[in-house]
Amino acid sequence: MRPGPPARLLLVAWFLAPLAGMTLWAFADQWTAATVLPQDWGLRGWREALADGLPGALLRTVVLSSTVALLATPAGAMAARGLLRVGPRLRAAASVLLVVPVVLPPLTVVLGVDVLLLRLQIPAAVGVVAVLVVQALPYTTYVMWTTYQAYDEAYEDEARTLGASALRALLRVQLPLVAPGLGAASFLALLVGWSDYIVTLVVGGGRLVTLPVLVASNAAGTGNEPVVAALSVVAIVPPLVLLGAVGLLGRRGRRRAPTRSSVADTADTAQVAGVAS
Amino acid sequence: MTAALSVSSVTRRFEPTEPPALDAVDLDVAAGTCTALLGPSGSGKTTLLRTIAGLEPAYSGTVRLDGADLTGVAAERRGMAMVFQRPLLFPHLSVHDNVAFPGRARGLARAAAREEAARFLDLVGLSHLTARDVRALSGGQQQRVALARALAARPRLLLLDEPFAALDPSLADEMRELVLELRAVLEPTVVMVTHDHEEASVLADDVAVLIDGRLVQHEPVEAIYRRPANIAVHRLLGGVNELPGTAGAGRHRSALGELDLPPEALGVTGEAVLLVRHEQVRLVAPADPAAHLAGAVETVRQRGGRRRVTVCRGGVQLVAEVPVTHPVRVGEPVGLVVPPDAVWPVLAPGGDQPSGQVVDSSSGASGRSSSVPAKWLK
Repeated sequence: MRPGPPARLLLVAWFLAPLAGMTLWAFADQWTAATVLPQDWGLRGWREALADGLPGALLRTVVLSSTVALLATPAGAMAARGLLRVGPRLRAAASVLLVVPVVLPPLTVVLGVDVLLLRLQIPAAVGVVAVLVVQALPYTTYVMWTTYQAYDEAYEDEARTLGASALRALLRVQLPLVAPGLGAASFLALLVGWSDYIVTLVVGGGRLVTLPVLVASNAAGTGNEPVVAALSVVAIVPPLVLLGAVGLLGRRGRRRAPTRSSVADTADTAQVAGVAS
Repeated sequence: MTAALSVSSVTRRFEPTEPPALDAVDLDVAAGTCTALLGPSGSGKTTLLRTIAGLEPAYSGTVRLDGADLTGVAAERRGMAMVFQRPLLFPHLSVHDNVAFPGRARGLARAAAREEAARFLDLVGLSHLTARDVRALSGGQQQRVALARALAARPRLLLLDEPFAALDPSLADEMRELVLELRAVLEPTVVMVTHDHEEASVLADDVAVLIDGRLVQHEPVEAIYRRPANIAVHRLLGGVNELPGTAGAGRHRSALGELDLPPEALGVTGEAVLLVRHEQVRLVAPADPAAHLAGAVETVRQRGGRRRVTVCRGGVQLVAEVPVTHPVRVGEPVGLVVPPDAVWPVLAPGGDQPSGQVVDSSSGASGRSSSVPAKWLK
């Protein structure tokens, strides 16, 4: 059911209201509760954020989340391709196992895992990445699973008989055809790393200061609203930009990748689209 | 550019408990010729083609191209190219780059590969669509591009897996014409899979019939229509007439009457089914001295521009295909003219097989010079 115009407006307001407040706070030097807009505009929040280590935290967040995405996406893709080849019973078991990291409360898991990692003397940063990759795997595997269900392996057979090596068929045929799925999967994995607080704090032992950790430590004090808001803006904008990019890529990909049954349909749609544009 | 293919005792099993998909298949295709693999669905045609292409690595037996054993040779190093039933054009590449793909895979620079691709697109009559998005093409155009792309791989052996089965009839005819032209220009060795005997007869020099993973018969087109190895082959070739009776002294006797056997089958003796090509049977007046058989018209069925008339006597039926203008009424008595080159006897299993003339159907592939079949259905 499509929501009517008033419902849509409400929905948009529901999403934007917190963002609006946050953005205003990021540029407010003073804003007491009684007024609609801040009394004093300024960059106090940004100055304090920079002084408190915003650049380093941003860098650590970028490196951590990219590492998680770079590991969890290929692993998820390979798991997905494997799952399409096994029998239904094993597949059902695997799909249950896959949701476990999502279902279990992170705090309980992390406290247990932390003890294990400490005993094994695994470096904190490696431990954080390992745990986050596990948390990201369900997302990447499910996205790639649906992607590969729509992907026709006969394209690779065709490429091989045309003289392409297995590697060339992978790079020039399979990867371009599943690129939209890879984009979506790595975006979700990136988000898992980007927004994590508990794993970074507990397994990282408080020494791995990422954006969420910095936001939380500032939010614990009073009178810190401008700096918390400034940090939050930095934490929110990059994923939003990426989301837009992935969305565009996905739309192009959907036009591109024909599925097993719909080669002709896609061709027709493309023709119609071509005429319309 | 062309090479001779030699397949010997190739067996492919998917499940250890199931009968093999390919059972000791032997197939020789001379350089520059076209052989059609004809068979019902599930007979192993596509599996055989994929095995030749190197896409089904787990087989026993050998595949040779110009004498070189291809065991363990990867698909991309076999010097073949394959066109599938679906065009499988790479959707992320333009028409031009699709056809340039084999050149690029061979290590050509982009410009050189595209230049070569342009020549092959010209060959299939699509040089005006070079820059087009592949999804903007019609089904027939897509299959043309797929053909150009396969030729751009400069295959020594071209494999076609029912490439025109998904096209509407007039387009498929156009494509067959194109393949004939390409064969005349490039003289590639071709192995094509089809379930349509008419397509096989249009395009191929030889027809190899596969049934249940066994190669039952492999002969030139005219020969296989005239001398089907058994009833199943006859049916695959569109044959509808199977007259039960007995053969002896160069003649076949059934409830419809007696017919002369063709010269190659004069020695056949015993319980035999006579296979008759309905296209060559003529209807005449019952008293016509030329008539070999006589009976009464049972049904008349329109079939395109022709009509099929079923004539019956003593529970035995014979179908004759006559022009649509031929006057015929259900129930009227008619005579049938059946020339000897329209008939072929196959013996009942265990029948009296004249020595030196009967080949076991399982070794039919090597029996291209021999003539008389042995079994009824298998």
